[in-house]
Amino acid sequence: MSIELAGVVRRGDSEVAPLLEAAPGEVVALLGPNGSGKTTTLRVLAGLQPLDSGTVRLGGRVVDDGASVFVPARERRAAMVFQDHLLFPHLSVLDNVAFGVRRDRARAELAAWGVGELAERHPRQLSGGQAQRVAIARALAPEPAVLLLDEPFAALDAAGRVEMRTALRHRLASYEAPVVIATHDPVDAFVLADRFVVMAAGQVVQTGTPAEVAQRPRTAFVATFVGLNVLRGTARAIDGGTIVTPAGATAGLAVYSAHPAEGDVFAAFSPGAVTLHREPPEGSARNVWQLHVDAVEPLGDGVRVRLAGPAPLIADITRAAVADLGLGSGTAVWATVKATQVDVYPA
Amino acid sequence: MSRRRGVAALPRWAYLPAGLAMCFLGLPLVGILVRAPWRRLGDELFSGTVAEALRLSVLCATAATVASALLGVPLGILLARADFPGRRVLRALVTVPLVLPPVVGGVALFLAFGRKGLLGPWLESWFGVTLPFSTAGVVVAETFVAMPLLVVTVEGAVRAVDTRYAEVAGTLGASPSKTLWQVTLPLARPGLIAGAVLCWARALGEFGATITFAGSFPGRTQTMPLAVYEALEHAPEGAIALSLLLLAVSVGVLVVLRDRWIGGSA
Repeated sequence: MSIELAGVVRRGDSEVAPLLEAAPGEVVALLGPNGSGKTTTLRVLAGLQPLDSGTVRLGGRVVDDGASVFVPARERRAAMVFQDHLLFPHLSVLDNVAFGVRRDRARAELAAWGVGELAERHPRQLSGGQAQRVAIARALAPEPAVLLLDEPFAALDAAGRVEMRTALRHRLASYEAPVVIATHDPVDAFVLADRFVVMAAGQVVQTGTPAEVAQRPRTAFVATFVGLNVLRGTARAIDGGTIVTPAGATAGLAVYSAHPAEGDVFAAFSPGAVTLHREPPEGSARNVWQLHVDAVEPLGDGVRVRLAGPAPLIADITRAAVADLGLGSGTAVWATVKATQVDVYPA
Repeated sequence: MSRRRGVAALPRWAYLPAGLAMCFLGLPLVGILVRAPWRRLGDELFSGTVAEALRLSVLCATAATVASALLGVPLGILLARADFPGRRVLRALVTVPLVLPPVVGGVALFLAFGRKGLLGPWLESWFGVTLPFSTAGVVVAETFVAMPLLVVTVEGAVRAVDTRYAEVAGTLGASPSKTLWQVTLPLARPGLIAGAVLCWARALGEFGATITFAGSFPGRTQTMPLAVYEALEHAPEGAIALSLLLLAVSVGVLVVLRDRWIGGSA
């Protein structure tokens, strides 16, 4: 089933104008700051929010024409996963997943998400990561024609996020319905999505493949959003973690991650995870690179430092830090990143 | 100890009126306990007219609670969830019987369901039902007075349930009925129980509307409060015994609500 959406939802003075297409099996990431209309877009697709004008087509069938036609959520087969899992607190895990399907189907989906042994528990007895797995299992159990995810990992800690993301990516690989995932986490978007739809103030401001959007961001949000440090290389287990060595590179470029991986992978970490020093840093940090400053640019209320050398990186630091370190073009610095901050995922 | 007193520091004079208020509220209850005919309690409660009043009260209050639940729960849900013009007016209308003097309620019921009332003649000619001065009339009077408590409690309880649970149920393909029965009502359960208990207690103690609309005929319409009132003149011990029973029921209701409402989990 495909998605075609172009319409307007009015709320008092403001309006949200969702514009989105997705082919079967395609994963679209809906990006934008809070309040930009991502959730409204998902609610329109789910059948929880009628359009004031415009059209929603699911699989070619008009399910909302902004006037006389409005197919309610229960007839759309569009499953939605909310940020705060919203498991029914009075039902067991199994009964939650079996809410719309037979129990054997529910058990199979729970097992697929590695939470089969939690079937008899109640939601309040689950960790955040477990609850979100159950919530996704519940959404997927009826084999929905459309899967909508609203910030599905936002409530999880860093480790849980990496784990969930990997599990979801694995599951979506064999999933034939279109998937729309609203997120403000760049890693989610780059790992999971085939295409980006960027929203700002209720309007769609950019669409394209991740590469297109990353290369030519048209909003400050996307510029920050895609400003990831990403390295591709070969992963090898070492000391309970992973070392990623880019093909044909010198040893100095290797990146350590605390997360397990193997084979051809991406290693990604955010510019905010980079710490800069004028002296060789002491301590246990494994990712230490000697680089020099290429450019210093204001970014939001902080500063983005572009570093050149064997590993070109971006580092986001505070203005105070720039002054303390006395950074200018050409300054020699040591950059460090904690291994726990480095995400690795299959290329 | 002294630190704790410091936090809750009150001017000393405030203890006097507060203490007086406590005595004022507590003393009458103590009076019942002191003067209760403890030795002959069984005889008093299970003798002819008193036992009849007790049976009738429990029967009518329970019937009124069932009627209130059947009609009042949907109304409470409607007030909490549906969006329609005149909802505020409807809510105000629902709360009128809560503040209306019960005697006025009785008069109003007469004008609606009495033999010469708006609906009374129809009930009589179509169904052969005459409500005033009948046991059914007691149930009607108690329902009129007690149902608003249930409606208001249910409305509050349903309103407190996150609407997104119902939305999730919808995306999982559930019909509105399934969502109501399996999601919204179970999540509002503590409030539903509290509403029913409050409703039952209010119906059990109902006096003004009942005596006005249904009269006080032993065995037919004379519930416990009416029996207490009548017994006070010629058989005060029986009145005290009945009062003790009603007091015990009230305390029981408070205990139930404390567990369900304040301490209990969903």
